Amino acid sequence: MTTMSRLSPFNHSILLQVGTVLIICQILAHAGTFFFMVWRYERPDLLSATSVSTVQAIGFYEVLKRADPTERASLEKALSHSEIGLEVIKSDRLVVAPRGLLPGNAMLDGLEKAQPELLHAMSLVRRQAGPGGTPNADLIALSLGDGTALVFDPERDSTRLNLPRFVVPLAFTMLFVPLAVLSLWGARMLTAPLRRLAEAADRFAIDLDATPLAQQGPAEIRTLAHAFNAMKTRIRQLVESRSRMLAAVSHDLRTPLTRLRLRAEALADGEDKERTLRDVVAMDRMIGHALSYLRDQASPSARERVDLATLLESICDDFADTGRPASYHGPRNVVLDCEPDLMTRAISNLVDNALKFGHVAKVSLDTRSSAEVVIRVEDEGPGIPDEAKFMVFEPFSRGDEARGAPETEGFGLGLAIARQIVERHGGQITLHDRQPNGLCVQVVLPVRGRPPVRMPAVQVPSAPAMRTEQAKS
Amino acid sequence: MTAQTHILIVEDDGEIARGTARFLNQSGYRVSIAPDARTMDRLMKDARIDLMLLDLMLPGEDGLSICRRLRASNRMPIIMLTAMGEEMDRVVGLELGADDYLAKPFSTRELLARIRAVLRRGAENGGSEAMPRGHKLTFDGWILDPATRQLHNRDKVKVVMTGAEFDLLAALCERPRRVLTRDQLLDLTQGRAAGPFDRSIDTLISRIRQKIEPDPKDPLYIQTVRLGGYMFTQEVKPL
Ligand SMILES: Nc1ncnc2c1ncn2[C@@H]1O[C@H](COP(=O)(O)OP(=O)(O)OP(=O)(O)O)[C@@H](O)[C@H]1O
Ligand SMILES: [Mg+2]
Repeated sequence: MTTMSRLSPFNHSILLQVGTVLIICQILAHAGTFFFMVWRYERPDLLSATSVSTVQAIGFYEVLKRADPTERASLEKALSHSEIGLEVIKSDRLVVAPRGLLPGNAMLDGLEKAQPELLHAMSLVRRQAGPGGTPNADLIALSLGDGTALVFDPERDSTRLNLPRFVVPLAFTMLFVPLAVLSLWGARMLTAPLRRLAEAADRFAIDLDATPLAQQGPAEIRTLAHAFNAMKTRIRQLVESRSRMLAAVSHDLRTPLTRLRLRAEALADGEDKERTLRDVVAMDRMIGHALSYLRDQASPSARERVDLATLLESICDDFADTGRPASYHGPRNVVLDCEPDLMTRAISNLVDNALKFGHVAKVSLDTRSSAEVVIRVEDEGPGIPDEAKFMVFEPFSRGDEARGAPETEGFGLGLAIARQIVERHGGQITLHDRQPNGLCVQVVLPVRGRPPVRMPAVQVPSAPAMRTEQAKS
Repeated sequence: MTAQTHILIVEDDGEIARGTARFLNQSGYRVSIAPDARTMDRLMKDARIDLMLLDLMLPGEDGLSICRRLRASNRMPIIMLTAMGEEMDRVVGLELGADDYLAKPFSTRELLARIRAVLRRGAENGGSEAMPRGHKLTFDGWILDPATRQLHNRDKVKVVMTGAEFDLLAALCERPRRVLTRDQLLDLTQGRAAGPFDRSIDTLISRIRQKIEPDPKDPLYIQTVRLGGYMFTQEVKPL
């Protein structure tokens, strides 16, 4: 069902739907009148009683019957030169035509009804085949009683519509083109408020501060605009309260953590001091992780062209400078359209995992395809069993063993954050086994062009903004 | 000399302020504490302050606003402290004229290193010669922005550096066409990350060359001076 309706071209836009309906209605209405008129003019029996040619024929018939021979001769001569389609012919040059053929027959019926007193003189005839004249055309003859008859050709009736074949399509085209244009224009007018609504929704998806939609237009649209604005306000409030909460949590957790750290540093050197400090660092890192997971998906996009090679190299060097064996092997000068801070966070998480679970981190870059770059982060650890590969990307999922890492470390958000960032860039992240052991995390990123995945633009309010909010409440 | 250095801590959390003050006292600084902007103003009228540690979130006038206000009148070094850990604030703070930025919870060692670096920079700036701080610098089409710690190449492509690499390149760029010895460079850059695994200046220089030199094997921008140290050869202009 759904696939069917999705396939239908008319589902693409209301404009098309309304336009089509309008055009079809117009065509039907016009075709109706058009065919009625054609049909009416093609029914000689309905017309014959009043048609000009009938009246003319009867008039001439009466005149001819009463005329003396000299008058008749000049009348006949005049007739034969005229264009009105009346002719006096010797009866023996005519044959009676079989009745039942249109249009002469229908015309005859009409005449008989209208002029019953002429019934005896009237017949449907054909010209005898001979030079000139159209042998098969039906003619109506009014016998003059002296071996001649007044003959007229219903086909030559000037009041009938003898439409050439091309007239119908021509008339249709002339109707159709302006009607189609007008209908589409009308439909456009009708759907304009809907289009504005759609555009507003689109803008809102990028910018939470977009101006509210004007409540104008037809009643339904006004209601819709009102509902949309209300929804927008609610979403805004939700997002803002979430951002405020994030900032507050961050601040409220880090303030006591700072006290704790200062207190610990005042302690005499020893195991207590060291362990406390380690916990403080781990907790701070966890807060940072949780915040970035919640915040990155909503932060405004800040893409720029970045030398990816230097980005990867700097990540590795930063780890190496703290004594952790991470290294980069790959080409130089690889330009990628990305958000450098987020990309750094994503790859750092992968390198951190490789070092934590797999002793070393080898980062490489593959630029063989011009459309995408492939970043690989490989280690020499135990890897991840196939059945767990899917799960580890879920937030807060950690390997049961948490293999040798100090128990305070990690929320299980590292891979979830990495995936979120990679997908935000239109890329993909996958896990592969290495031979003989170890894990290879592969990140495929489109080089450029693909638009950033649209996320609502939320900014965590800066500290002062938050302070004023708190002061207010 | 350090004994006379007067640091003002503007911080509303009493324990953090006192703990930091105690530590800085032990390190030989004279320290005052102000829990809000009003106290800060009073203290600044009474005594000469050499450096300010400024919390971002304060009751009343907040840190950013204070920073902006102070910058309008003097060049006293300011180090921002914030619990937000928010990139936005960092950039805004540095652009408003803070000299450095430290995220809470900071280590006292890091704090001390930053304070020393900022003070040294201030002293050097007094003696001119170096490029004005905080301005974007440009050389041979490259753009280096000390405030946001960003480097862009001639094609406007961002080139990413580690903290130590950036500090070293900035130190060189701020003193173009001068021979700087390894000791001088070490002294100029040790503010940020002074850890047990710190790389030697030579290692950092070779990494920087890999990232910026047209031909790292035949360096053009940063030349090695025999027996001396290194010299940044390009003309550097403020942007
Ligand atoms: N390179 C790897 N080798 C083996 N197992 C891994 C590797 N990377 C991740 N894992 C497994 O996947 C789990 C989830 O990883 P993730 O990075 O999301 O969380 P974490 O490292 O445990 O915590 P966090 O990154 O938040 O500090 C890990 O707990 C670990 O079991
Ligand atoms: Mg991890």
